[in-house]
Amino acid sequence: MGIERSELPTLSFSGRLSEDIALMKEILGEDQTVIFRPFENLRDGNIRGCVIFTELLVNNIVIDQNVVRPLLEFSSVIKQRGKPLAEELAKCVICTDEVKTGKNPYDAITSIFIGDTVILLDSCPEAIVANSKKYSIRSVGVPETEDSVNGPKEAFTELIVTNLSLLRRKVKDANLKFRFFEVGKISRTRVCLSYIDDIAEESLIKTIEERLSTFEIDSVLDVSYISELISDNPTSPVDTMGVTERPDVVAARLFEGRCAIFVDGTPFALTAPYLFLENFQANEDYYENFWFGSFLRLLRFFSFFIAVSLPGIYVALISYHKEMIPRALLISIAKSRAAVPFPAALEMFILLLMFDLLRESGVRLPKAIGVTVSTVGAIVLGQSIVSANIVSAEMIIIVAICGIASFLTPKLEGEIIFLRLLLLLLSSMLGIYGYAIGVVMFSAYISSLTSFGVDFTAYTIPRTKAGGKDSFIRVIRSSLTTRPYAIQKKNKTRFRRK
Amino acid sequence: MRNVLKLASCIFAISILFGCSDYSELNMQKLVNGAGIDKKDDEIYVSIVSPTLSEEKEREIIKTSGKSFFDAVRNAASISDKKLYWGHATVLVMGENLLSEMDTLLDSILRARDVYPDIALVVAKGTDAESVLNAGEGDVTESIYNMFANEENSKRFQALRIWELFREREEFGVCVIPTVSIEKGEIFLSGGAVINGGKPSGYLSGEEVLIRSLVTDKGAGGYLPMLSGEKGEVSFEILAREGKKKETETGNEISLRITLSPAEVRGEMSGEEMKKLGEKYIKEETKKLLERASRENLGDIFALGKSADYNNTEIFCEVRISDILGGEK
Repeated sequence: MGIERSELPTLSFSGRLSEDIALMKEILGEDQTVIFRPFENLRDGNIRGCVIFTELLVNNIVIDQNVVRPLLEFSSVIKQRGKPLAEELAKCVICTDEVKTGKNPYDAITSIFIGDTVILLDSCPEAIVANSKKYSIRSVGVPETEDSVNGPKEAFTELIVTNLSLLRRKVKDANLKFRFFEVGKISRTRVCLSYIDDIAEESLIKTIEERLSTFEIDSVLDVSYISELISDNPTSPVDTMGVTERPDVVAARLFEGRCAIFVDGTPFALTAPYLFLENFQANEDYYENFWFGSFLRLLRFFSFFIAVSLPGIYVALISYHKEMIPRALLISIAKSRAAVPFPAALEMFILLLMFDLLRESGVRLPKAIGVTVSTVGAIVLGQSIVSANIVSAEMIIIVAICGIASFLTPKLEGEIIFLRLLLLLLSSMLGIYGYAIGVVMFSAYISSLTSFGVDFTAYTIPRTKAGGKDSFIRVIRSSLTTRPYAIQKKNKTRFRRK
Repeated sequence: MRNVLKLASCIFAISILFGCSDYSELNMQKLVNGAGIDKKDDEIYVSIVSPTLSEEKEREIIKTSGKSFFDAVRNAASISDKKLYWGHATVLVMGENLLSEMDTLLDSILRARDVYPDIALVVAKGTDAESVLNAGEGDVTESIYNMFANEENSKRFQALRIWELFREREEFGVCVIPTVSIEKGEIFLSGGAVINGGKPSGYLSGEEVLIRSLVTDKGAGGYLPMLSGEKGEVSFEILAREGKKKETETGNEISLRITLSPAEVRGEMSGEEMKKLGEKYIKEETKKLLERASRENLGDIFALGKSADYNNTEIFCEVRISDILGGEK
């Protein structure tokens, strides 16, 4: 490209058709997917121009019938009105749902690459941009990472407009706002901030807007790009922004005063502020009977404890505190470990590493092969490794229990792996005291985190009766009368009897 | 990054400064289930019972000796292929002749590493500790431990752990260590050895141990033997009891309130008759034990107090008959 990128925003159309087309071609370079279709009005040969679009992203029928045909056939009377021709054509001739004009060639090209059609006119320094988008997208599918038995079965797709429409269908109130940003110097990705105006705190909206405008990046390909750039604790191994693929979850969070961020090309949405407690909540808690929902939530807390603690506690007990293990069990463990050459801690590290290898390979491989890998890993490898006396059978059981337990809180997958290894390391050095030190360190650390100004551990230990209603358990819906006070304070009531 | 470095430095420092002091790998250790201690010719003989990790043999007994318990256990290191781990030892069988120097022995035991004071003490009566451990094929220490568990309800033979021994001696000056004997090659719990002021002062039978438990509020239940009345026979299970002791101007008083349930009734007996039989038996047995304790100088086995006069003690016994197993109130 002959024109420097930094110069592009400063360019403008000259109003001379041949020059403007040449400019566009120069910017576009060798991109042969962009079509230049010249036209001349049938009734007035002086009205000439060029329709420019990319064949990859457009609806050809719309361009033929609603853009090109009207341009060929419109009456020259329009020209005689004395107003700028581009404005008149946009207003009276082009028959698409969204039409605008612009003077910057670079903006015009960006529009072309989101599926719009650009019309250049001779003797007119403005381009008309008409909506003609048509994308090949997958249809709205079922959630893959947040599947549920009850409740809605739809998940976000890669198209931001579809995602917003899914949300709009759930929140029909006029106070639901969508504010668009363009992020990514090259990718020019559309990012949408969504919130309910009379519920979300203004300070929160302002903070997110400010943070979205404080960086310059080449491209944004996923919500995680945004999450890492705008969260309170970007270096933390603990995520302080929520990610979901479910429109109902986003809607529920907006109703609590949170904001959602959508990124074009990603079937996930970010929500903020995010609390540690939310890792243990699932949409299904609210769709089940509240007794069962509460039980499931408690089960998730327990599973988190098991997933992070069991290896550390086990190694601490068999290496330092054998007297705490019942004698019969200790004899059984001693028998199985009799021929194992490695120290218990190293054995556990090896097994956990192997488990993570298997899990990762199962996820990355195609589903059919992934299942085979899991089966081979779980049965053949497990059996063989015990027979070869590399690890003991009890270790396999411990790691398997940890693995199963960690699946109950998928949002904490990364945190569980880190914390589990930390606790195992400390336990293998200091026994149960090391484990206790690790737990205190982790508790202190997550207590120091914030998510957009809100304490990350808010409601984890509820200090008020209201705070405890939707924390470790979920009480009956009629008792959930107020929104979370830690997140928003201006519109508290969410339920009352008429 | 700075925080990560700080954290890593902390963990490294902790591991260097504090870590691994009592670290030990399970497969480098030999678990000890229990031990027997005998004294012959000024030499302490220790038989250590350890579960084997093979399927063929349930347990192995490591025999060692030395000038003291500590010395003997230290000598075991040259016999055993692995380091001994005493954390799960449950029963310690002592030879009768060691009762007179029990304080020295317990001090030596408790100073050993990994030994916790919740090991149950048992005295080998009429035999030596090694013979007790060698009776039968299985792990005798485990059998004794299970016997105590089976007696949990009757409280006739209660395990006396080392810390309980110290507590009882502190409180009453007297403690009773269960005894184990061998008959026809089988071991059984036979009663209790009375330790008065750190010295052995005699033995109690199983029934005497039960009576003592009733008075000292140690037992929660138990079975009385078959009692004969005019219209038949009855045996009782003790459901609840409350024992009160007090010193009076004329001597001492022991009042007992006991609820009995007829475990087996032969003949036509009314509740009142059962009550009388039960009261008579408990009162008589308590009186007999008081007299024996006084006569044989067993010590203050009922914990009546230092100035207690066992010859001048009144016994009041009230029995209630529960209808749980068919008796009348």
